[in-house]
Amino acid sequence: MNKILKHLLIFIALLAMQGIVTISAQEVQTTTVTGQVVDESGNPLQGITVKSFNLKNSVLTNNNGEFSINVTATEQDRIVISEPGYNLNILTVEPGQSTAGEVSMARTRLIDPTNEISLPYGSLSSLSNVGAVSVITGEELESYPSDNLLEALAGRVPGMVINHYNFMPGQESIGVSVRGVGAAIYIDGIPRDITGLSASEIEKIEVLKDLSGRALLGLSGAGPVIWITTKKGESFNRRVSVSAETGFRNPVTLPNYLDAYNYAVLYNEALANDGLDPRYSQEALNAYQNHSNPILYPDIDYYDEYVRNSAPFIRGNIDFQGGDDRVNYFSTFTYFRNEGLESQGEVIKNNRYKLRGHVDIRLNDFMKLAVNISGSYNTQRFPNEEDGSGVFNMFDVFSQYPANAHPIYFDTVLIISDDYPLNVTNELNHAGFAEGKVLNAQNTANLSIDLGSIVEGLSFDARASFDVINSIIQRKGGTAALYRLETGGTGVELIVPEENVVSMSVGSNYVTRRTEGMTSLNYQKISGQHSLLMNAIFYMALDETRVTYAGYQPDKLEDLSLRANYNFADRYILQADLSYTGSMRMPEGERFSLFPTVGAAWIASNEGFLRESNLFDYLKFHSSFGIMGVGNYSLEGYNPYYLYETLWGDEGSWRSGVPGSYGYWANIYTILQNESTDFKLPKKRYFNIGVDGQMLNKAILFELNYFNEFNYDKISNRIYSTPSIIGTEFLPATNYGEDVRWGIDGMIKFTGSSGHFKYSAGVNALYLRGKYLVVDELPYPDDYRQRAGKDIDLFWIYNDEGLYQTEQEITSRDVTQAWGDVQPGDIRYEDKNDDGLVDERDVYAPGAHSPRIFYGANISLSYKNLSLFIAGHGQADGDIMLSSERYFRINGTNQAYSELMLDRWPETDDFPRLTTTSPNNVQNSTFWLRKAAYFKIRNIELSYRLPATASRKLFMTDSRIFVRGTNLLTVSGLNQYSVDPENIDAGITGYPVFRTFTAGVSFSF
Amino acid sequence: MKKLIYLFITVSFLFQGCEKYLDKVEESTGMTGEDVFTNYLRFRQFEDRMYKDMVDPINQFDYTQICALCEEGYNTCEWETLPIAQTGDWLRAYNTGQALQFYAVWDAWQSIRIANLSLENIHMLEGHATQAQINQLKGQAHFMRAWYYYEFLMRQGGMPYLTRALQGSDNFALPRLSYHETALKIVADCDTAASLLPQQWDMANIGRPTEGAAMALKASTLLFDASPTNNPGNDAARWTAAAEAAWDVIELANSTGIYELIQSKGTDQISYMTPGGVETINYPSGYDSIFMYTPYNNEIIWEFYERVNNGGTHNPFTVASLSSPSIIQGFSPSQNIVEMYETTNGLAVGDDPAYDPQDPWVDRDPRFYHSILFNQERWTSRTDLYLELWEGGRDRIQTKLYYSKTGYLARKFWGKNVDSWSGAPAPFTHSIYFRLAEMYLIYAEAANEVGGPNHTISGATMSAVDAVNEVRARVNMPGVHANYLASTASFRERIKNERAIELFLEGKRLFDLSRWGDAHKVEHKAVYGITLTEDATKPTGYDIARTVDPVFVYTFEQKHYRWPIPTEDALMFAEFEQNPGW
Repeated sequence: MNKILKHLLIFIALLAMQGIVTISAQEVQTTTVTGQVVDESGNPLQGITVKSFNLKNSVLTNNNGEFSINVTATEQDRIVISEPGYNLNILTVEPGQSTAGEVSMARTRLIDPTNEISLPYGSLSSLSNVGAVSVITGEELESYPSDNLLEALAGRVPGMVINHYNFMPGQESIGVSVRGVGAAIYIDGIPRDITGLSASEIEKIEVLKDLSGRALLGLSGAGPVIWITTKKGESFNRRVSVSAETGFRNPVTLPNYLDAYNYAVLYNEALANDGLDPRYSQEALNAYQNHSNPILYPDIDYYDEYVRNSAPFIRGNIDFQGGDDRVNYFSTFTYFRNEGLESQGEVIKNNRYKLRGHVDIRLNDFMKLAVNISGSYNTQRFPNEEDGSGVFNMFDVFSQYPANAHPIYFDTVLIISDDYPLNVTNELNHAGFAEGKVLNAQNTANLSIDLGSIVEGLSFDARASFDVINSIIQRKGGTAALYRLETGGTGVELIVPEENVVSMSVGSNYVTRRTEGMTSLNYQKISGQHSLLMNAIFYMALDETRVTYAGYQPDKLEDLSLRANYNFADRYILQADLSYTGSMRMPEGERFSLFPTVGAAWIASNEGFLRESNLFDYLKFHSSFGIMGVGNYSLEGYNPYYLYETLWGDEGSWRSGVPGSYGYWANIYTILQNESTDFKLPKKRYFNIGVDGQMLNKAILFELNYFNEFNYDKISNRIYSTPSIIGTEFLPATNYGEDVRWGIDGMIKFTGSSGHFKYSAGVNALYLRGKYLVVDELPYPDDYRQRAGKDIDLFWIYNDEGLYQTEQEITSRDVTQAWGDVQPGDIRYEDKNDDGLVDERDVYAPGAHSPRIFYGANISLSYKNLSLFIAGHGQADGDIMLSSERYFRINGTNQAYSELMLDRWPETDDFPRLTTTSPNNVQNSTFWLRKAAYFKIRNIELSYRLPATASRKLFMTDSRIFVRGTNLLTVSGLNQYSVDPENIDAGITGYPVFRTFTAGVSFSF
Repeated sequence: MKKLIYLFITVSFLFQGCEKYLDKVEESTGMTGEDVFTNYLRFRQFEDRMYKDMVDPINQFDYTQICALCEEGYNTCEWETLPIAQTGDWLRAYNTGQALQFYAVWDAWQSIRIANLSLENIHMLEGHATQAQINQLKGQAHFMRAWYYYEFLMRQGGMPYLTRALQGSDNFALPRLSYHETALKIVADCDTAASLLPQQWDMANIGRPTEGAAMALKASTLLFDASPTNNPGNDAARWTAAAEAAWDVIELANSTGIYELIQSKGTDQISYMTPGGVETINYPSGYDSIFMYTPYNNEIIWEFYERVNNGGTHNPFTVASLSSPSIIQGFSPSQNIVEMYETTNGLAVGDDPAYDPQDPWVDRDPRFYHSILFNQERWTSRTDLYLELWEGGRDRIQTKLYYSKTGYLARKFWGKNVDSWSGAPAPFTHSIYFRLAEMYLIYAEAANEVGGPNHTISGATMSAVDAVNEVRARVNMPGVHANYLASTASFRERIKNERAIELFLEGKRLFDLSRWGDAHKVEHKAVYGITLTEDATKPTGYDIARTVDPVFVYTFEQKHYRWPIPTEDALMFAEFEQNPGW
């Protein structure tokens, strides 16, 4: 692996040399060319950089937008006019030419009919696209300081929702869903891990929301696809860009736990409520309060002791790009580092080095080769988890250990206790560390052959790729000697002897690799107003992982797909996609199925009657409908690859006879899984209809889509419709189950300017619904227990009727709750079926549901060289469950108490009475629901661009300084509990959500 | 354009050859049904899976608490069923997935399937095994199918009697057979099994069902079928059938000598502390060796198989603490049961003028000393340690687990000197389903119903009362007192009493009370203990009185005579009816 890395380094270094080093020392004859640069309205643009390619000199336009620049006089040269926010202009200057005339600079527009849309295995003009595709560029995401690009996408794309699961540096885990369904991420056409991909490498991200865009992916395209295209070099635009930022991160919020005194008082109260004797005497309480004996009566604030206020963050990258008419290149190097919040001992450290090189070579008149290689090397160091299971997560301890669990030290020795067997000082300082190294290499080569000589408009592409991820975690354990305090606190007793571990051991080691090949035949014919584009793709892939577990299968894919897109006069578009796609999970002979998708679009703005109006610059109605199989189904208890086979195995061992006269040991042979003879691929029907447009001289941009996804023939073994008398847990798979998801997503964006002041503001939103139509469930006699016909996102819980306030209320109600006797201060649940007993039969959907509205908003403001960008996102119309039993629903013995418990009943009705025994109050019920709505200012960037003349003095074409921040403001009803609405367990069981501040510079030359 | 079409066609052809690419890398485990069913050892191992759903009648944490669902006593271990026993909402046990004794047996449908698959595929073994081997496999399959249906019968009642493995496409809407129909199906399987199974297994297979086990299962099934709850028309033919089947087992024992009643031999002694010093009681020994010590004995006809081959060293009713200087126990026998042990005169305590309720430990049925531990008795290896079973005493702490709640501890299944001080391991312990003594009691009960205490079933050589006396004689108890032999009814009560003490804690009582129709009666639902008040004037040093309030009251209503069927199954098809009241 290191060898590959070395070669990559050399390769990229060579590319870089090409960019920087001046090629020629010879005298060249020069001549001057003049011209004028204007904007779309014809106004002159001042301070625009104009470069000549051969001579590598550059000038700026004057007040009238005019320039005058030297070019080579004897050979063809190019003038490159570039300005951030505008499309690049490259003009060819023939020998003898002295004027470039008026050059009109068009503003870069994210959505524009002339833009190319990259769909799987072929591009279309945005105009010809019939599907719902949202686009965002890498540049737009650069303002977000993070190692994971997905974080930056939150709220930026209509229909897309980002979910954070883990915030621990190096272990971050983020999920992305589009229209409520988990999305697959493709980088340069291949499903790849997005970890470590930086915004600076990205040309653009297309989110393929309906089937028409992704039907050519076959079964892999059943769900939404995020199609990321990385940058490549542009001919005659040589550039070196550098960007560096540094800053710090701190927790947005941390949970609050009680100090020892309050904990002891409340714990006594809980015991008293349970009719038990207090654990803490008045003497102990006094000692906790006045800290008179910190050994016997400790009071430790773990957050104070072990959590530092902030952790550093560093990110930098340099890219080289350029090319001529034969070779284009783009290469980039990124360095990234962040750290954990531990304030002593082993601090989590996460470093990443990332290289990418993309070269396009025109081999001859009809062949082009593209090679795209990327490698990232990630080193991580963590405090070691004693049992070898992973990373020591100190926050997980803080939410369980009360402040008086045990003192950290007695004299100089470390203390633990029977109930609380960890000492965090030991864990961080003496328990060793784990070191992870992850190498992620992504390699693709693509050969394009123009077959125009055989059939006009015909071309052929062949692509091969080979990706490897190799991860090794090595660890070193150990512990300091740990002691238990003797009764009375005058001495200690050794519990865990000191252990010094000298050598490292392998914690985990795995390799995954993906190999794939793709060939496509493409045909394009334009004749008059008719334009036809056809692609035929043959695709194979193999995914392998080196781990051993029962039933492991390398995953193989094989698809043959066809697309035809017909455009008449840029007004009427028809598209048909056919996918003949294979699944290795189906029996031989039934592996391939054919799935069609059709779509149409009408560009109303190109019709005569609208063309004359000034209202719409662009207006397109589009719709698509398709059917696709779902290949990655699962069936609990089954190996999904072997559904059509009866699997035999052995289940434990057994011997007959009695001691002294045993029979032999033998395995019990058993049927692990019964064959399924009657099942086919589950399927979905997807319908999308939408409108895209630009209005009022491109000041307003909008898109709006309605979608409807019908899932049917779901794989099920109908366990709820098969009685126990069949006598097997392995019921054959069959197709049963239907649901529908539908919703609306859209965006609108306003752009405008007034003098030096420019602004743009956009909002996007998703409204999402889903309903079960056919569900394998019991035919409950009570309708309220049936799921079929009800929304997917409902909470199935007990309905609370507040807290019991008096004994008298309990007696007069005379309803038993299933978790034992209740007291005033316990949650009173609705007895839905009026049988005098609250139990599972009273669980129903009282109507509360998860959020259905997800939205994002962003604003860009600039005045002269100063720019401000603000992005936010949020959700609304739904509820969230306060589920944590370590924070909200505290119950049981030996638990830390959160400060929220100060508001327990009878102080307030916000939380039930304290108890150490009764599980009555920890049940999922409406009592624990809160409004899930929140709005977050997710990202702010304030930047100042140096005036062009100033940049030039620094030998730069463009330079900026900026400050950035993330997670700066959260508006949420959950703020009162000091938890983050995006992940309410963050900071309690795992790492907290981070707020990041950075400052940095970026420049190019 | 033509060339284009050719090209697409060529690609498509190339593609056809590629389907093989999607073949799986490896084919499952490589074993097929044929591999299993044509090899004797594998077939046997496949079939042996059917023993897995047997429930252990004396396992502390699940099935054993059958004895804690009636007046035998109160369970003081961490027992999740307690609230369910209290409320009587047995259906909830299924819903919550707790309370093992309610749902564990329901899983036996899986074993029934194994038995059926074995019988369906046994033909494949022809030529690969001896006829004797094939018969053994068939016999075991028939027996175990019958066994699990018997477990259902005792609980939920009649079921569809499956004799083949159902397929996913089969019609599952099978109606439940009546109680009697199911019993007859079980009996038919028992008959087949008895004709195929060996009388005894070699040592390496001991514990597998035998001919005798099949006959005993038949007798017990027929007894249930004849009992009042399940025989509302009191069809005497059913009692006759039960008596005959039980007699067949006794006759098998007599003719072959493979089963016998373990006789008392020698004398055991217990001692207990009184104000006047340590008192001792001598009683016949040997009864406890039916349940403990040796891996097998001749009284056992059919027992929990896994216990046999696990070496069953297990302390079901005692948890002798290894660290705590005290005795802890998970089961507290009731005063209700203690009062059922007769005096050595063969009279009920209430009927014997010699009996002094303030000196109740002396002159009792020897089985009392074998089954119950009382206040100030010395039982552990510590010679100076006497049980403190008064309220607040060391071994009776009301608020704690494992301590006595009633003033008694269970001694049955607790090996001698097995405690923390001796460090002695628990002895081999049996979990018995059928033993010969019960066959005598079945015979006696059925014969009495047919013709009264002195009735002898045709073909038998013993009257009902003779059979009971046989069981009493081996612990040196006198025959049933003439006072109790006046009528079928009065003798019936003594047989019930005899079963209660002979089979105490063996998982029988709840089902007996159920089949007799007695379980809902308050005297069988309210568990009493005793209050012990220190009083040096009393013979034991304590004033002994039944507790004023019951320690615990079980809920048992009419609906509890038929256990509920798990909701899932009851709801699925109208034909598969839920039992009434649930």
